[in-house]
Amino acid sequence: MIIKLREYGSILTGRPFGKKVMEQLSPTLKHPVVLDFDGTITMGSSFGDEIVPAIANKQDGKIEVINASKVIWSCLDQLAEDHNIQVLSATER
Amino acid sequence: MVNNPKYLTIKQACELLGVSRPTFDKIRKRRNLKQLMRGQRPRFLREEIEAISEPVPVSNLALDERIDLSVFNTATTFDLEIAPDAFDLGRLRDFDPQGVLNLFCALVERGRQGRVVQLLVEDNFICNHLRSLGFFNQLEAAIPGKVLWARDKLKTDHTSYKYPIGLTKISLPKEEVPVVEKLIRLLREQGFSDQIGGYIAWIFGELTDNANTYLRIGDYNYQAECYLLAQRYKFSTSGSDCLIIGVADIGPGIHETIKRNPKYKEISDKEALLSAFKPGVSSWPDEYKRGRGLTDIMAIAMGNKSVFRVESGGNIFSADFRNKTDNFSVDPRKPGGTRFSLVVIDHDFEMKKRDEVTNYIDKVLAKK
Repeated sequence: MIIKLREYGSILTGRPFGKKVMEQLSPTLKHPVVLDFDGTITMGSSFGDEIVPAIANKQDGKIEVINASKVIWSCLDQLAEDHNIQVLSATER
Repeated sequence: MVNNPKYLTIKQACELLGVSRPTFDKIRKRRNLKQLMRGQRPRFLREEIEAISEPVPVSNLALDERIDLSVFNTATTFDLEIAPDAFDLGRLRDFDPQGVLNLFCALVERGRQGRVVQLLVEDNFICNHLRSLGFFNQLEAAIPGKVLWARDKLKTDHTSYKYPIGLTKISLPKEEVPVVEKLIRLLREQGFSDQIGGYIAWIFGELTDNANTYLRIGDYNYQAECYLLAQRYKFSTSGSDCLIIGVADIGPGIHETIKRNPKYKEISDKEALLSAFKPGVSSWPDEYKRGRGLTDIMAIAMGNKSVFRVESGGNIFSADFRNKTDNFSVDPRKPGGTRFSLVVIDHDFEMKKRDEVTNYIDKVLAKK
């Protein structure tokens, strides 16, 4: 399934907010999940911490993303390093 | 014809928008402006150019490359105090966003101690500029009934110097989002890159989330609110576009917050403030894996080669990542709250990795 993160806002920062979004997402998740960043301006690593590794760890440590800007990729790269997960661009499969 | 007022040359369009030729080229490309060729030279529809300039409320102030965000610092605020709780704002000759936030926080702190502050204003550029930022209105809202000033003295209009984000209060989670979205939109229209907009949004998001989170927990007797400010500048010699952004809260200070974690209880205020930028250092116990936000901000500042300044509970750290200089000092009067300011420069860059931030902070801490 594709999760359109824009539905949660254009500025995805803050751990409490990340936690809240993950709580909303969890019951409906159908793996494998692709994160779509279309319309998202930025994501902070405290927000990403609550979402990205939690999903990746249920998909063999991998997660695909689409429409991520350079700014968002810089956050995703940090998350990949911190949590030893693979973040892949879905368009580069 | 060249003098047909309906069409503008590139030079005329630049003048109308108040931007340089490279910036105009970026705007032209981004907005896919229609152009009419007159011989070899393009002309642009005046109405289309005016449509761009209309929603642009920010000025194009020149900024001296030597800026260190201490044009008007906390110490200067106290120098304005000509009698107990009476501040002569007419003596101000210059300020930057950090200075505005310093002054604002110092006055709010007084008011929240139950004291009435008296502000002496003059109908000069600085005082009118403060008014156009919303300074006086926000102050009256923050400490109702505790501010005395002669509103009718300020008569001159300086709205052409309006900031893209005037002094704005954020007191609810994610309340900053529409404010920052508007800022990003304006910057984009003025030729700033989307990349820089993303990093600015990240910085604002993390700092406002921090203020909203840490002032709400525990037994603090502080209001969970912070204030934002942003202004666009252009470096006077290089011509680079940049934005000074500032975020302030009137809380206990970063060092006090960090020391709530027993692990850091015994460290010095300096170490607590600086360590807060290292990954994983937080007021929360380690098992919660907190302490990412300030590291992100330092990583962006270092990568961007920003000028960075934080003042928190009297501890002041400033760094100029263009020339790799930094300084730590203490204001013995220990003004409360925390103010962050960054000069974010619009150029292509990579933010630094976490271990580079850790190494940098360790080096600063190792200095005597």
